[in-house]
Amino acid sequence: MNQPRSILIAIAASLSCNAAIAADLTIEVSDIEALTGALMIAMYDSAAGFDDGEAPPVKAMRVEVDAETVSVPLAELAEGEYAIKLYHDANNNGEMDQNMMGLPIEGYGFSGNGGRFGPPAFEEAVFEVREDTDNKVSIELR
Amino acid sequence: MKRREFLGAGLASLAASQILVCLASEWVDSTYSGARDWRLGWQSVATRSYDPLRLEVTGKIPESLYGVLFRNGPAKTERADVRYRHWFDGDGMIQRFAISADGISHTGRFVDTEKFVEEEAAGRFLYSAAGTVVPNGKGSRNNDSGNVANTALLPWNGELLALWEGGSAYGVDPATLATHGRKDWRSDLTHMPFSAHPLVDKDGTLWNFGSAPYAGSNGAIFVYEIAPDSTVRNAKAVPTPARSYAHSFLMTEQWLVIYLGAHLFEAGGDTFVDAFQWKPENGSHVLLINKNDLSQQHTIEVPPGFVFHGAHAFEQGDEIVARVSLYDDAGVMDSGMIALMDAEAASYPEFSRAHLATLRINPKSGKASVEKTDTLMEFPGIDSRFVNASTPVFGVGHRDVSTPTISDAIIRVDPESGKEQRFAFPDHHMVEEPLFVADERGDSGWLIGTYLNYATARSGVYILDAKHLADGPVATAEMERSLPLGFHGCFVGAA
Repeated sequence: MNQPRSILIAIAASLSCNAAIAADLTIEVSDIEALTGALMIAMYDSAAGFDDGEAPPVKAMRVEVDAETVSVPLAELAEGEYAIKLYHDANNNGEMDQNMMGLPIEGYGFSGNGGRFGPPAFEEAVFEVREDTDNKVSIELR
Repeated sequence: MKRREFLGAGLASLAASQILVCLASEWVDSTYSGARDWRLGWQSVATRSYDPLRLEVTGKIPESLYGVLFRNGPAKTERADVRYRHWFDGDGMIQRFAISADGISHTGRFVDTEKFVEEEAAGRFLYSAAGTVVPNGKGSRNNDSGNVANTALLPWNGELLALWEGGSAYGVDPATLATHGRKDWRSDLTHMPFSAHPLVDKDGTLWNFGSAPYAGSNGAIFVYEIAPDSTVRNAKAVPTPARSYAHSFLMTEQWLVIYLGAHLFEAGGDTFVDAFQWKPENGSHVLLINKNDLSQQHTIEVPPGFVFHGAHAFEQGDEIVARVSLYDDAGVMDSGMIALMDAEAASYPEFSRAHLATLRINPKSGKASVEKTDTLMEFPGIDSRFVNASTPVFGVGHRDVSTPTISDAIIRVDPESGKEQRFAFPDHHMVEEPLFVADERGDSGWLIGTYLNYATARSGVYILDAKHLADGPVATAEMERSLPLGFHGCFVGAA
């Protein structure tokens, strides 16, 4: 897999220092339909960012797709609450393509796998990242 | 339109707490194996395809009918311990009757939709259907997650289009019935609703619409104009006056005519079907869209009613005249088609039936009238070479019109004279949509369709002279194989 630079930096950082208040997280994304393009992942630590776009994501990643399930390891995260939204940019055009009705025609997903009635709120998608724990979040693409 | 609104309603992702699925394991064996009643028409097909089987022909098949009769319909209605509860739900299977001087041979094959292939591998239903919430189902990705391609067929550019209405058409090989794949037409039309009843214009243009009653504040119709080479000339969203159910449309020289029933999509049903509520106080509407300028539209209120199918429409002076099968209410969809799937039903269900009716719509005055005849008729059709006021209408009806139960008669009505002809099949026969096939003899032709004799568990093909229905079939052909009843088909001549 051609890891994005941000992840490499994060991994390198985790190897080079044993940060006292930092945690690791694995994001596992499954049900990927086409083995092309990349996952575009945005991770937020607030409702203002996740729900309203009023704060930038704490992590924004582009991860090449090479399997139906892709694992994304993250390190050096501050403990706390996060929520993830992502889409699969299968045709590499940098956009989540939509049809005439405004429905996504590329895969998408959220932490918590909610959002069946529209994108979930931060409260529904939130998960905790704690130190000294194998933090993992599984997201099924839709 | 907000995406949230669309997702909220369109994906039919439903409260898992209210699972309304019949558990079928108890009666599958006891009821259907050797069943000799009407419920055989709603059996589930276990095999993925049917090997060729010759039919026994009685009578003489006219040479005009050498070719292939295709039929589509829901055929996989049970997996594991789950039986679908609505007739709309089953996966589409195409039946192919090859007709030649040698006789008639039947094959059949399920459409390999993404849903069917995934569920076949899993050995259970994974996605909720139009009228059924499946237990432990997967969330829908888009409008094609539950696509069963089970409603109708259209020959198009060397393929057969296997049509549904909630999502895309599928392309199928007419010779082998192998599925080519989903028809996206254009990238921004991917996973869009596409009705099961597209119409081909004189110049070869394919017209269709997709109904999205869940979209926007009052629902929307998407109109598609597709050139003979399958390029999209136009695709346009048209707002509707209410969140009406709309199944098919008619076409005149100038207008697309869409009947919007008083059956409205309301938030909160467990399934797509259950989300609709009969709201006669809202009236029905006829939506007219100008084919030469899709932005020119008229919405005209008509008395409350419900329509699946129309026979044809034409222009007469300032009026647009449409002949449709008109129901007094939507009972057929919201309870009738559920009751028909009920294997424990004590008797054939009662629900209101469609009457052949004429709508006269005047876009200039904004007024319309409805003339309902006494003739009960569904699956209406015509000889499309002659579309005018006197064009006879053919359809499926009943021998006993005072207490209609199963559909057991083929009917012809000459609208101007009101003259009616019918052929009632013998006991235990359920008949399906008649298709008109022109004869070289000139102004007439044949009606061809399929039937099921549930007493003998044999399915067959009937051929009637379109001018002389009452004389009975000129030919029938039957086989030692029973098929579930389907919806619509098409005939492709041998050429």
